[in-house]
Amino acid sequence: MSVKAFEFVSVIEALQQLGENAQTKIECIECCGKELYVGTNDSSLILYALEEKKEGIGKVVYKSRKVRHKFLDLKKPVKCIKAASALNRLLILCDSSLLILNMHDLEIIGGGPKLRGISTFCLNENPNINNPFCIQICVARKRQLQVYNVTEEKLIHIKDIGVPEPAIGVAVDGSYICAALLTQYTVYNFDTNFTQQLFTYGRENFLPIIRRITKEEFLLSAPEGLGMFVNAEGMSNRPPIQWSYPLRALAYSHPYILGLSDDVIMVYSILDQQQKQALPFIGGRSIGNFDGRIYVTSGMAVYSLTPVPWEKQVEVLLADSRVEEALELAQNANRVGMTKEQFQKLYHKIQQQAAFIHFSNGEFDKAQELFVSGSVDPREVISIFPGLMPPSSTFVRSIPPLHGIADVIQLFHGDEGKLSEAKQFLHHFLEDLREKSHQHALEVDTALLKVYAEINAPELEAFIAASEITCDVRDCCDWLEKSKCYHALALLHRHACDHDKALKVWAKIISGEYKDDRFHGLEFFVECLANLKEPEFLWRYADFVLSRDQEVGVGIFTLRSAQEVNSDALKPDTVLNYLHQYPKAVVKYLEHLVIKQEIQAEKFHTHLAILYLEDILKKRKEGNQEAVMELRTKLRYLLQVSSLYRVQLLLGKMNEADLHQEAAILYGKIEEHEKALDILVHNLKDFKAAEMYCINTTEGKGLKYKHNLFHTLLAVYLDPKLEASKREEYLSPALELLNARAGDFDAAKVLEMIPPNWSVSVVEVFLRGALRTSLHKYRMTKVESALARGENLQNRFALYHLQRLSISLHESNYCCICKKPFLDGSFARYPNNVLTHVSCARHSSICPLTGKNFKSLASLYPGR
Amino acid sequence: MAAPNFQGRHMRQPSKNTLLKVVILGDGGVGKSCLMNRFVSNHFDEHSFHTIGVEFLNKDIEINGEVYTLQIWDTAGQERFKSLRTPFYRGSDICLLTYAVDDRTSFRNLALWRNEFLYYADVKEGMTFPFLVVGNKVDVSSEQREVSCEEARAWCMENGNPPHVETSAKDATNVEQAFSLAVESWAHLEAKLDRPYIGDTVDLRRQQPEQRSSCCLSVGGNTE
Repeated sequence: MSVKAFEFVSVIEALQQLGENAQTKIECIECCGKELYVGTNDSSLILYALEEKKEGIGKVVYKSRKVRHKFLDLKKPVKCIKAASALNRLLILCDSSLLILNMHDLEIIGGGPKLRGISTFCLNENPNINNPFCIQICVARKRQLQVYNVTEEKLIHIKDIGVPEPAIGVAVDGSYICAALLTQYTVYNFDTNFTQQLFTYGRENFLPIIRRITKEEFLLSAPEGLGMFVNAEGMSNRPPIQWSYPLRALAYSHPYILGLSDDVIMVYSILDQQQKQALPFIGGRSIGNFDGRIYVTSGMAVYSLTPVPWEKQVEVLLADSRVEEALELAQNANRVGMTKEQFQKLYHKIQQQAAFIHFSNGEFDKAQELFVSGSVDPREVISIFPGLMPPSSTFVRSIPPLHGIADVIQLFHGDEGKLSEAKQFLHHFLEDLREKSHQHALEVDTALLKVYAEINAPELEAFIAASEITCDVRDCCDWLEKSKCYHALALLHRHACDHDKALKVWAKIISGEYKDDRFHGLEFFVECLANLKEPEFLWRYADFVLSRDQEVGVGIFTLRSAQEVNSDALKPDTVLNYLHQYPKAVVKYLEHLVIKQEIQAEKFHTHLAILYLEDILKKRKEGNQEAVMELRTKLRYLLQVSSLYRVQLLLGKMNEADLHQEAAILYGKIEEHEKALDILVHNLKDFKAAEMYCINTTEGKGLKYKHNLFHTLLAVYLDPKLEASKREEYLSPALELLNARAGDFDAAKVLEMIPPNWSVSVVEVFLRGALRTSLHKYRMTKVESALARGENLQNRFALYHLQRLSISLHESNYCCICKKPFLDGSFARYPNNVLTHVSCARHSSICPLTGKNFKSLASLYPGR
Repeated sequence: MAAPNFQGRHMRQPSKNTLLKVVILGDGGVGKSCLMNRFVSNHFDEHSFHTIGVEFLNKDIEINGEVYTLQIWDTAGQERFKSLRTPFYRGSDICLLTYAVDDRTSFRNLALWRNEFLYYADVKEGMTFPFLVVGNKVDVSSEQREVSCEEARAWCMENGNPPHVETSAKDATNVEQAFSLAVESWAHLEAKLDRPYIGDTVDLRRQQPEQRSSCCLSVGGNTE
């Protein structure tokens, strides 16, 4: 309850100082422009001229000067004064009489009272009259309410309304009179005669007070210390006010209700009906809002309650950490003299201040919301986290400052929990910010990077690698080094195109000088080297990586994009030359050249095959069967896929090494099928492989070639030079081959080849197959011959048809198209005997003269 | 006393949220304030004090895609504030009549509260005003319970058939639902007011068999 909404400023400190006698007390006042009218208990009316001086910001000082004193000579106090400046008149209630005075010379118009027997009267603050030189009043007399229009000259009676009890207070708005009778409040509409009882109260010790709030809404004092808002329809649409002290008088100055009690002026907000301020003021008698100026009187003195500018009130609320109230007040503030943009700017600033308050209280969610809606300069937020601002930033905190926070450590007194929460907040805040805009990217990115590094966030590497950051590289590097985020540090160096430094850092991680679990290992380093355009780095670190892992390390050559390989520094010969001390790397590199890049150079292919071979021999010596198998598979693959190697050289070596399978492949390559099959059958005894060899080799070749190869195989099986036991052994695969692939043999030749002592039943399947095949062939040939004959006949018929008719071309013949004679004897003829020049016959199937389409006939009778 | 312009209040711009004035009535101690606080701020105060004068809170609620702003008036049950009832009750759109299921007197007084509301709020069509009967404190044990649900339903049947709901502000049972129900009931009656002739007129196009079946039902109901 400590909004400072109003401040006291003395207007008339004591009547006596201005020359009145000691018994004179102020009864009521009226203020109109610079003229202050004071009505006293001894029936005097005093006019003061006020001088308002602004001193400093929002400070006002009043000077008053007595201008005129009018003694009304009625021996009763002046109850009420109302000024009507447009009419130049004052309306005064004194001794139950209504007097009308000239505003300036205070002379009574007409010399005496206009109305008598009046208990109270009021001005209609919202009259339904068009004449600006006319006011409307309502007077209460006994059991009657009367409405009058007042002009400069006269009082015009408008309406009488009967009331059940005498009225002791009235207020008028439009056509509605709200009257406080002896025991109840009632609303009367003097246009429609509508009556609305509001509520009753006990007669004793209750002071009814009515104050118009807005159109057709009044604030009424109610029993039990309440202030009721009631509209002309008798409804309460706002919750009531609970007065802290017994109420004496009321005034309203948006958004505040001012209640005067004996000792205190209570200030309530109409927005939430809560008390906002209490100003001690003893002996208060009246309070009123006179054209926006609030004056309060005691018996002796007049004070002005000058409203504290809402900006200042907000400031006080914020200083008190009452954020919600401050924002509400600002939203409902009187924005006079401010453009929408100006207000928006100011409101944003308030939101920012409020956000910092939430921040200081550790309410980070609320703070973030307000920071965002108040479009705070993110640098303001970053700057309270020590060390996060890049030194290259030109930012200085706004003046006047938005907050009193030196930095977060001081703010939270080093409380680790709070600090880490604050960091989390900053983390989210900056991430959100980055998604929305790229303002102040330098500071935001730098700070975010540092936060990531500090909380060891997994996003750090991705953040740097995404390479959309604009941070202060040097500052960030220092920070990352300090935070031991070496991998990130290297990434940042690379992002800044400082490859030298990046590679150095990584090399240190690899060699164990630095420790960073986020680093992906040697492979990553090799990849980086391979991706670098400049080969100098590659050569610098080549030994470094290859000595660590040859197979991974060779990636610095093999992972490079293809077009670079041909650059001078990285010619395959140069590389191979360099690699010779790393045998494993050489193999990998050659594999890369031969298989991946398909470089057609004999030496690489042969070299690779020999390296495989050497390896096989080595592994075989070691007894590592598994490795041998693997290597032989690779070797075979190479031998089959490539045909660029030096076969003879390899063949010798294969035979030396007893690598029969490989030798067979090599024989196959040089078309020495008999040798190849010999190896497969005799050395390897792999009959299936022999058969597959035949099938694979003859694929896509002619029938004869096929026959030859299969006969070769059969001959290998049935070689009469073989000893008897072997022949027994090869009998069954030979038969199997014959029977299974009867179609691939020339039956006549086979019959010559097979030993005469074989029974028919042994080769029955083959014979049957062969018979069937040859029969099929015979029949197919017959069909073909018949079809060919048929085709021949058709063609001959077509020829006859074409030659059947003859046309004679005379000099008198003209082309149907161009109507010119045929000169060189060439012509075009359509089947309907239309003749044209060859050049005039645009369409071969549509007659140019009749338009007849010969398309369907064109194939049958070709020619024109 | 002239009739207040009750229906005129609802002529609002369709774009804005519909503002509904909701009055909670019932004997002191049945938990009116607790009900309101549970609904608006979802908290419960075991040792809340007597309400002085009136308490007042706003809350937005969405029903069938439309947002209503409920202006909830929690009036004090005490005698000394009685003279202020009129302005508080007037212009209400919805009235919650509350009792506590462990307090038979509070249930018996529902009729008094209902009549008082109708009188002071100046509602002419008492039978069609959107009341909602709320039995609070269902969290009490069955031994402590004095008013059964059936009994309450029966009372509702005899008094304009307002919807009835049993709630517990303490453990939040049905509180949200109670207010939703109240707004739905208001919207239902409002729709009827907008088309005043429907329901009271005979629809000639209506098919005969339907009428007959409804006749039979009502006869059956009467004989029971």
